[in-house]
Amino acid sequence: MERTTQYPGLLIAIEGTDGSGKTTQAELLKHYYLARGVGVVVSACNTVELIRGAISNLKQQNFLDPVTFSFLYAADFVDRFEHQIIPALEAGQLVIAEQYVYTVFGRAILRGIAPEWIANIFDFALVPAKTFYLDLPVEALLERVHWKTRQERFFDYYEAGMDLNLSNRKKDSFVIYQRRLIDMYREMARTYTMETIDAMQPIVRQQKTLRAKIDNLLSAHRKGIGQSGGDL
Amino acid sequence: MSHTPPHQYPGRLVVVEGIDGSGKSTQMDLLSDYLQSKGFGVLKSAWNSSPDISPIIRKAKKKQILTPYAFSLLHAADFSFRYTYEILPAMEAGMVVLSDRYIYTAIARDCARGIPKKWLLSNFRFAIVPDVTFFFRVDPEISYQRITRTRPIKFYEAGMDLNLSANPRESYILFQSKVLSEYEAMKNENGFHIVDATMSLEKTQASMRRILAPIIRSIS
Repeated sequence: MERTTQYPGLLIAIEGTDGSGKTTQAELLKHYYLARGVGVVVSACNTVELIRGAISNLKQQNFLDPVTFSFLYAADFVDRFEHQIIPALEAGQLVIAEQYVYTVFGRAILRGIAPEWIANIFDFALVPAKTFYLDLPVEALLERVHWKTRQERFFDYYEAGMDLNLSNRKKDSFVIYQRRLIDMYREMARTYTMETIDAMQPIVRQQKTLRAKIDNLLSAHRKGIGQSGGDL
Repeated sequence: MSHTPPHQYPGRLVVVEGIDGSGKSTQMDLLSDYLQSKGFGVLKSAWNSSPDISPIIRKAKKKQILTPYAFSLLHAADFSFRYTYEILPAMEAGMVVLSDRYIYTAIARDCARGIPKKWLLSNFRFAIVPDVTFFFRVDPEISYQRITRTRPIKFYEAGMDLNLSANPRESYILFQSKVLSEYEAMKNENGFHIVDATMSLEKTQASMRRILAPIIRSIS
């Protein structure tokens, strides 16, 4: 993956498991920067309708081959990347990608995919100026998910990692799977020099840390492209 | 002559490659009938035919919204599905798999669309090497004439997404010439058997059967 320096805009990514607070933090960042006159786009992972349909059909029929899924997730990502992220970067905006490529890496690697193979597939993408990893221990994640499910839904087969035969009980499987996923995120946080944020901290505290780091990145970026007349 | 497969499966993988209108599908049908009459189990697998993924590719093509990377990744998903759930099980069962296009189609087309070859080779490195690959070589002018006898040229097969020419015929010739030269670049390294698509149907079939004989003889 290439670095983003050639664009007038700046790319930030937020990664973390479900329930780690990515959406909340991204939304707060958006309001903060918009209020300060910075153009912001929050790029969330909303799977393209056509691909979402295929994915859910395949899952229903138990066709869970991780290679096929890696290509489908990459096809979905390339659409978001080329039609949302790149145009926003070209227009000089701050792009906050809520869930970038690393979640797909983690899920694939846990299903036996070679790390360098999946990383190569996403080679067309850009390395964010910074990736923040919201780290949440599995116990806290469980509490948040339980709280969430009362209003929404119970986690699905795939999110519970049931295809990995970790346990016959969905809840046990979920705990084992999410624990492995968290280990994987922590390892990737080191490999890809992410900034780890303790997601157990109060929301406002996390937000303050994020703003301080992103403020610095923005001013460094402005200086870097100062002569060429960037918009940020 | 004995044949040692490049893989450990009891089955055999036979691939035809080349641009459309080269007569390869006709030859595959003939080969399939022949092999079945000889008592072999045969599985035919065609490019872009998986039940859940190929329909979305067709829809996206119709809307003409595919960028080269999206085009490549969706076709890779379709291929990998067929590979896992059609081709490999048949190979394990000791059948002869007749694959109408294989990874070389993706590599040739996507390279012609400007995608780095290194990226494609890595993506498709999971796929086994075929026991034999027939490369149907045809001049794009001739293939254009053959195709347009029965249907109009399609947007992506003419490479219209690359803005090579506003004229579909011209664009087709330019794009498919590029695809052809990508195939040519792969032919030696991958041991393609070249089939001259201007030869008669019978002669072509006879020569394909000759090449195939030692390969299928060793099926236990």
